[in-house]
Amino acid sequence: MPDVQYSSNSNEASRKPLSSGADRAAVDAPHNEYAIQDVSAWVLRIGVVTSVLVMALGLTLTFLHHPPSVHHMKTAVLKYNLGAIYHGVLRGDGESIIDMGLFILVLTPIARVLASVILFATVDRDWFYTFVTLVVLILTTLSLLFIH
Amino acid sequence: MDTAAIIWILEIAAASLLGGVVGAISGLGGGIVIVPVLTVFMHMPIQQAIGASIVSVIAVSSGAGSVYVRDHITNVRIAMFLELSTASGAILGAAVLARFLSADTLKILFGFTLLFSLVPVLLKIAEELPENVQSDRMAKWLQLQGSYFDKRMNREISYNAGRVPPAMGIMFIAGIMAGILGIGAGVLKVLAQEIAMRLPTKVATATSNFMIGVTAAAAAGVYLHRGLVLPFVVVPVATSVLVGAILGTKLMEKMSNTMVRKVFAVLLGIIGIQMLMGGFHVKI
Repeated sequence: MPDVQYSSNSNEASRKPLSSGADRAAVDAPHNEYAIQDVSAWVLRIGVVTSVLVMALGLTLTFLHHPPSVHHMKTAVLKYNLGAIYHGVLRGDGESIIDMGLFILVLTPIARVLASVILFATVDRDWFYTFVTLVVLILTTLSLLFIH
Repeated sequence: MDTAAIIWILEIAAASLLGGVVGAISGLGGGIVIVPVLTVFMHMPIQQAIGASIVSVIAVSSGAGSVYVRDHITNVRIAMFLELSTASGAILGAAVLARFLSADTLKILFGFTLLFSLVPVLLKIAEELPENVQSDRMAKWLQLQGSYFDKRMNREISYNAGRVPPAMGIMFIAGIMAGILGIGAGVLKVLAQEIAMRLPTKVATATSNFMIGVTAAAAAGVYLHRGLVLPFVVVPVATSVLVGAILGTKLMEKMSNTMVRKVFAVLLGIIGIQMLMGGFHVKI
């Protein structure tokens, strides 16, 4: 875990004056603060790198198999159908692989919020922030799925 | 192999690289560069350009976010708490208010709001760090205070977070804007933290950058569903915006807070004018 040496003082100081709300996150806070940051950083990095690699693979396969015309590139639309993408990926279809990469990208920030929910609940044991992140997770997922 | 196809992809990639750099520094995501290039120079319909921009916002937010969070510039608690307001505003906006409020009215209101908020930003344009900020009761209870290591000043900067309720209000409005107009409204996110909470500018833009990915992911469903996301546009956009975003984080961490604020102020003015022109249907 990098750069922990300058982590502690301000967080400790800001927690001391708390009297009413202090009990909800009193235990070993600075260390935990960085756990959540480091995990968030890794989730984002893995998500975004994976999606870009998958999209690059899809693009390469597309150009190798059926080089698209500019007209096709300007009009081809992402399939919003996970079943179709899944079968396309199994066939090795380049465009389906690109679509899969795009879905990984869209899901990356949501995976990061999910990771925060888990960390606030298990490492920080901060129920207020667990609740806050859980509501954000639910609202975001609902918007992604149901608002057209 | 069609050379026109390759040139077309390279043009998109070049615009996106710049979008990524600007988006990562300002906390706005990069749509500000990508949308005009795709519509004006490459004659793409505006809705498809916004679809590409939404995906680019997610890539910038995740790519730059992973650096800013690792370097502890992002304040995760502020991000999550304010994101609650935005997410509720976005649902309300998209599901209910979109039927009553016209996009034009909203753009005009949004445009004037942004141009007015230039005043407080310009008044403190030379202020490196906010002084005499007291955390309000809510900020203390929510533990929103924090610190980050400033690479330019080469020291740890501790900061307080003031006036949380107005910041929540602004974030709620940002959510409504995002829900109705389908944009990340990163500009309101930075303003809420910069003007209402008076956080150091770098913390404000890094934390905004962290949040916009979630807002954009929530909005992405609409664009995916309506067939407004074009894979062959989005791949070069996402890839090169990511490279730009990583470059942008290196620059931002070395910049002074006043410099970051100047970049933001310029974009604030441009977006404000763009919104007004859109609302009044003024074309260049």
